[in-house]
Amino acid sequence: MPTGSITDMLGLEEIDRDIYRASFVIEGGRHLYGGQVAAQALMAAGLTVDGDRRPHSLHGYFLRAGEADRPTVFRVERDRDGRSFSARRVVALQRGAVLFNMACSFHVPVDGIEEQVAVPPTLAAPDDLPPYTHGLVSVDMRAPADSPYGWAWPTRFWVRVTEDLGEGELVNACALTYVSDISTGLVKWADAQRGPGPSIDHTVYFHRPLRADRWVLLDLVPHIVAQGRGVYTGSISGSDGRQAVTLVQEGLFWGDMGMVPPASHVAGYGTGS
Amino acid sequence: MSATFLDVLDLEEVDRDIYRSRYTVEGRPRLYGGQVAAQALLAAGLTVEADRRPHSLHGYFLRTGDAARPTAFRVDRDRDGRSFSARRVVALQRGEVIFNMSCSFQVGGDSLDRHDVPLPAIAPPGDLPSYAISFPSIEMQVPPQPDEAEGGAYPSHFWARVGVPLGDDPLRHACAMTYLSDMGTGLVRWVTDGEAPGPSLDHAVWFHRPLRADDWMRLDFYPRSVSTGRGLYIGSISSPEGEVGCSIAQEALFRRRRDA
Repeated sequence: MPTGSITDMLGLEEIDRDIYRASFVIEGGRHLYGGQVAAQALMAAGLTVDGDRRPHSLHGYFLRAGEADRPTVFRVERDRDGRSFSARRVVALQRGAVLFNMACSFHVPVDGIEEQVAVPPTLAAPDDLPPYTHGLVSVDMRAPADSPYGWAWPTRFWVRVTEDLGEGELVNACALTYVSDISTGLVKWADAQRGPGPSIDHTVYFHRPLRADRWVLLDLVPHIVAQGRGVYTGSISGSDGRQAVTLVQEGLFWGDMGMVPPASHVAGYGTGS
Repeated sequence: MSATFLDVLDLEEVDRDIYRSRYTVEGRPRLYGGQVAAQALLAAGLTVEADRRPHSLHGYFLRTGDAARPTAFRVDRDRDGRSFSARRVVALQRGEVIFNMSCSFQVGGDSLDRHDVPLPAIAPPGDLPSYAISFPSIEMQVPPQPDEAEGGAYPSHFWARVGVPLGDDPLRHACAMTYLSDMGTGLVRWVTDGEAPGPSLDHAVWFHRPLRADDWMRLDFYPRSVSTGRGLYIGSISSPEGEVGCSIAQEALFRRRRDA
């Protein structure tokens, strides 16, 4: 497991107006984890927005494999600052090539009705579940030992950031984005010949604030695989069952790949470890 | 002669990666979001090799567009890889970004084909009442809703098609599905006298399998959440046989009615 802190990972250096650099690196020649670049891109966008606005959605595409041992540069475009919404687009760059692009939006929240359709998913308490080995920093993850469908990517699990993040909604949204790419909801259709590959695009809707330094429950649900790609949706809920986040992710779904047996898998499959 | 949907899909190439739509509608104050999204996807697709088909798009509606004005589209080519091409597009009126979109194209391939998308039984198209809409060439029929709470002005389950032949280019069918995908809303369940869905904020479409948009397709929308002035629904576009062609996710304002 790499060493480092999520606070350092999210600590961006302002190079110039709307240009940021993440100097946080993980040595060892690994691929950059997609959740990291998405979380940092959201942080870069959020740093250009007034503090009363909080992120409510992001849509990103993973375009090239990044290098975890290189700094990443983030360039922000301000598409609009309206009365209650701010829209931003971000590109993440290494060696001058776009690794990741993202559009996102920030909203001054208003009071209104509060409804959700999702029935809160159930899972044994985190303290009753074994730790799950992964490639993220400052993250405690607990998943049942018997993974669904016999594969090592859990679809329902607890995650908690082990550092104090405070009440800040931007930093908590970035931390939730960081953990949101840790597994996949597509194992239902994996077998010895085919299974989920790298993430293609990633969408996060932040319905309500949620602290990522308390236990949060991720629940990933498969929707479809066709034409070499798959889509799953997911939710992130607090331990009170209130859903704070909806995820939608599209990923490659490879055929004839000779799937690696589950026991050898390390979570955070975007890490390429 | 009145305009057809083919006019919506007629973009002029102004220069490399710059396009203009000259399809305008007098007397309609607001540009329809599905139109600008469909045209943005077309603009992106025109910069991509023809063997690559759109597989997803993600857009934000940023400003109210003017339906009586032409719209310009500027395309950025983020990547052309071996099997994927990524593009970003901004739609402009009066120099301002009214819509931004990122999208991706892939060389098609066969593979495992499975889905877990439930589709409630609805009456087939043909003899159902037509739904009056003012979009060019678009036909819409509304069956009795599976859930009575989801009737009213915005059905959550309905049939739609483009009433003119679209040819065989999958890009044009994807653009047509994008156009249709912003009709209706999946948030009617939570409408009250005081609060209702407002304008769309963002819109995402994943194209799983090719469908013909000049044949009947069913659209099914499902609410997910309403909170702090916004609502999210997801949906799908499927063939009459239940083959899911697209998934949709949309966030919209959900707020106090102006007259409440």
